[in-house]
Amino acid sequence: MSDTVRKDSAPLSGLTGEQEPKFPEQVDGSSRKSGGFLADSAERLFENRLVVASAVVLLVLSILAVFAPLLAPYDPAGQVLSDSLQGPRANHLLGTDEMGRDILSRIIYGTRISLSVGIVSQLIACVIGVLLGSIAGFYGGLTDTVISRSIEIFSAFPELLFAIGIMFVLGPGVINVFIALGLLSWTSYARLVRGQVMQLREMEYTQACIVCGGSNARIIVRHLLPNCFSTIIVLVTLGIPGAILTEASLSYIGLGVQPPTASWGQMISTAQQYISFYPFYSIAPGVAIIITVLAFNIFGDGLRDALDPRLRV
Amino acid sequence: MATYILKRLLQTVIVLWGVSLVTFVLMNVVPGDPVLLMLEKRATPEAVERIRHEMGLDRPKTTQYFDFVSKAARLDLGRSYFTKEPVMTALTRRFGVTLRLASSAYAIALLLGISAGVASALQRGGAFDSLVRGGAVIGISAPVFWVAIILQMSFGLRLGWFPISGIRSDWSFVLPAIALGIRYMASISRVTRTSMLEVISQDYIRTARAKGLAERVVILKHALKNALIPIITLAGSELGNLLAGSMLTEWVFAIPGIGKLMVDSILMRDLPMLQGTVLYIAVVFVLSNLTVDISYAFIDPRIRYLKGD
Repeated sequence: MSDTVRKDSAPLSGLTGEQEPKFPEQVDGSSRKSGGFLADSAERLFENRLVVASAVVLLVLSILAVFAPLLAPYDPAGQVLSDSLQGPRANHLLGTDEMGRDILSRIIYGTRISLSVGIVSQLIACVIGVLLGSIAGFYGGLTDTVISRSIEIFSAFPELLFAIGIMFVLGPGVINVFIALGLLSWTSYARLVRGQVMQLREMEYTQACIVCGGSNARIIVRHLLPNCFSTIIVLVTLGIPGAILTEASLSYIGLGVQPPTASWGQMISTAQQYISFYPFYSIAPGVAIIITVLAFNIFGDGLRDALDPRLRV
Repeated sequence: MATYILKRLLQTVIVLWGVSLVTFVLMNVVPGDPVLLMLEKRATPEAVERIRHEMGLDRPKTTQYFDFVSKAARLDLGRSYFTKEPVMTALTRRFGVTLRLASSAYAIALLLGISAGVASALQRGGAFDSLVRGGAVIGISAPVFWVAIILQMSFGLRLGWFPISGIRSDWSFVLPAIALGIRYMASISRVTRTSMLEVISQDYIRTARAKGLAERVVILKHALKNALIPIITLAGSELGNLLAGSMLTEWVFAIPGIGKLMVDSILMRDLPMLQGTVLYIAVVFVLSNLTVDISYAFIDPRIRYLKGD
């Protein structure tokens, strides 16, 4: 992989004192106080109106996903064949599909798939990546070489190609999509965490821990990883939209979530047969994907600027 | 410099070996017996056994792997289960089509992406800047295949300006190239904007302006030239992704390129063809990254000093 590029764009050090200047307590107490790392970051995060808007969108999407059975006007699998392929009307706000199922309800249920795929796959990737990355960065030497080469090999496949390969082997299904996308994106976590751990390892407080006889596992878990926390949070947030897009692509070519489960990508795939006379059917699920991915992208960018600006490319 | 290139080459060899291993393992853990897939249900057990022996599938996996690698190194990727055509022949034939699609998309993305990025950096905070930035965020958030369908629907079906499938003429490439290019255009315009803003605020740009150079010269010759480094990096690392991303576009527009070949071979469970395609795309991807890294070292001398030790 493009070794030079990646290394140059990696953050130069972990979150250290100089990155988070603590404001001395104001004498008059009237102006901005430092409320600690989290409060400061949250304040910076929500200063941007766009970020606030994206957070609201994400909240709404999560509510839709969790309470889909209560909020969806119809059963997403309920077929009324006499009502098939009807455009938007009062009782079907987004119209009906080829089996007379309510498109709005299917889109609402689709948020469950997209959000869970995005979040679960990134958590899987995060666990694998953080584990391997911190081991490589902490121990160095042969361990590091083996892990670094594996990172390179795994990132040598274009994302979608790799996802297709794994899905081909595992077979379609939601759980398999989780696994495939998790296996696909652990490398970016491993690469960044490795870099940060390597730097943190050389810092005096780590050396002090070693001298005091702290076990390696304890040093990594208690002293190094907490300092990588903001990087990891930002990576998870920015990894989710990519995973949602890849899931949509997989479901579109029929390797992802299988019918009758409602998934946006697979809805677009079915709708494609009807584009000549019912274009709305193709447009609706695509707009749902764009809104979701957009919200995650904007929120993730905001989070990165608030927590760890050095991740900015 | 020579040491750096040598190091990168060695690294690439290791990565390529890993790629071959991963591909082989993936294809060998696929459920279903390839011989049974090839033959019809009524084939006798003897016939199945004979074919299995002829294909070398009864040998130990390690032997099969070494055989696969040594053949692949001699550009022999086996034959398709169905058409019996050598995989390499099919790949070379279709690579031309993909390359044509990808390079058109790439040209669109670079040309429009860089111009939009420069223009929006120059009018920072203005209406055009907001438009470009908004457009770019939407561009990277939209699924490629959906954009392709929307273009097909509006400019192909509704307006009838361009063909919607197959490759009958040069016009057939217009919509697919735009669909594929939009995403990269978006990311290139973002990077260009950031990089230009950084460069423009530097002292030497003020000097150039102070000595009375025309604004056009300052921007194009002095600023853009230095702002290009991150753009080239991105453009280079996206090249491989673009080749792979053409998969969905080819599928939507029924363009007989590598991507469609791959999706087809998945649907037909044509293992040698799939294995060959995966390996081929991965190798192209690795080599294009290698080229980027090496050319990067030529463009930005700092890399040479940092890495050449």
